[in-house]
Amino acid sequence: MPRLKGERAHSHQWGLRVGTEIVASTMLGLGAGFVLDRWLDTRPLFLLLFFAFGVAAGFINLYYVMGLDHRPENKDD
Amino acid sequence: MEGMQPLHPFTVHTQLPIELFGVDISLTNTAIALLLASVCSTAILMLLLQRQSILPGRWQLLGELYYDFVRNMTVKNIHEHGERYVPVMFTLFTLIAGSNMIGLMPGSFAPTTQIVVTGTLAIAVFLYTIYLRIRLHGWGFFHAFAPPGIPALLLPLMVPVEILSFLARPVSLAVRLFANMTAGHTVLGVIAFFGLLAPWYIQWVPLSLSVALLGVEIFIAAIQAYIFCVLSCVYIDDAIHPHS
Repeated sequence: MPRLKGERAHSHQWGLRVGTEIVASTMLGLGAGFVLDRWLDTRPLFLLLFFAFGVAAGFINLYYVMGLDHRPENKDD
Repeated sequence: MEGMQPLHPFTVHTQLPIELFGVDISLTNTAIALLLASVCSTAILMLLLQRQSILPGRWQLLGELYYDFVRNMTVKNIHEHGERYVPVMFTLFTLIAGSNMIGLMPGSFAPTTQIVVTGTLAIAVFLYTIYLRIRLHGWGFFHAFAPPGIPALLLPLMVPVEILSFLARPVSLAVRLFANMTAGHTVLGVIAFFGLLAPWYIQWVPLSLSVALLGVEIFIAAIQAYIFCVLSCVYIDDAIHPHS
């Protein structure tokens, strides 16, 4: 998963990155839910479900970014 | 005041209408700025390396330092096979940095303020990483969506979340570059308008601020190109050496 070496030196970039990770995942989840709902005519079931999935995906990305950032380099999981 | 719309500079206009076999391939201001950015950056690099010698002169040194910077970034982030991806990263970095910089010239247009441009670049990188995964690891890369050690009961929850977090990569790449460039240019425009609107005795505050902001924008233009390329490298590295 993504991790940037030396990114801690630029806290502003680090913050922006964390923000976009969550926003992108949530947007994608909402988009997928919206499309599925329109296709299957189940509004708002998939929208709500995929919104939750999207937020969870955002936090998972965030967890990977944070978790790997603290570990020594090249250490296997 | 007329024309005081901060988002007005980002409107796409058709400059040269062209239609080929019923398909609209008109040249817009985005396409022209993108072409201009690539032509200018190629011309500058060619000028820098015009007179090549073993003992590099000032301009050759500048070109070599620039190449070395992109090369180091690529090799550091793509372990083992980094050298192979230096040309593509160099092209990507030069194109994005050129597109970001060209928008800072008065009267010009930054192609990276259009999400269609950043999205195309991000999707191209994303599809390339998928191609690399399939070529190197076969269809086995789909196992990455089911993290090891997860109870079977949780799989229906974890697999969609993992797939979404994977698909969010190009979205976050595209949105980050687009949002940073658009926000920067909007702030520059707003501060410049403040300068025009302010009474004469206070005009120097927003005008000097816009000069300082232009400096920050040049820095952000380079940093954003760097981040886009580093993340592309990280994704390529992830495709070559899947961690799970």
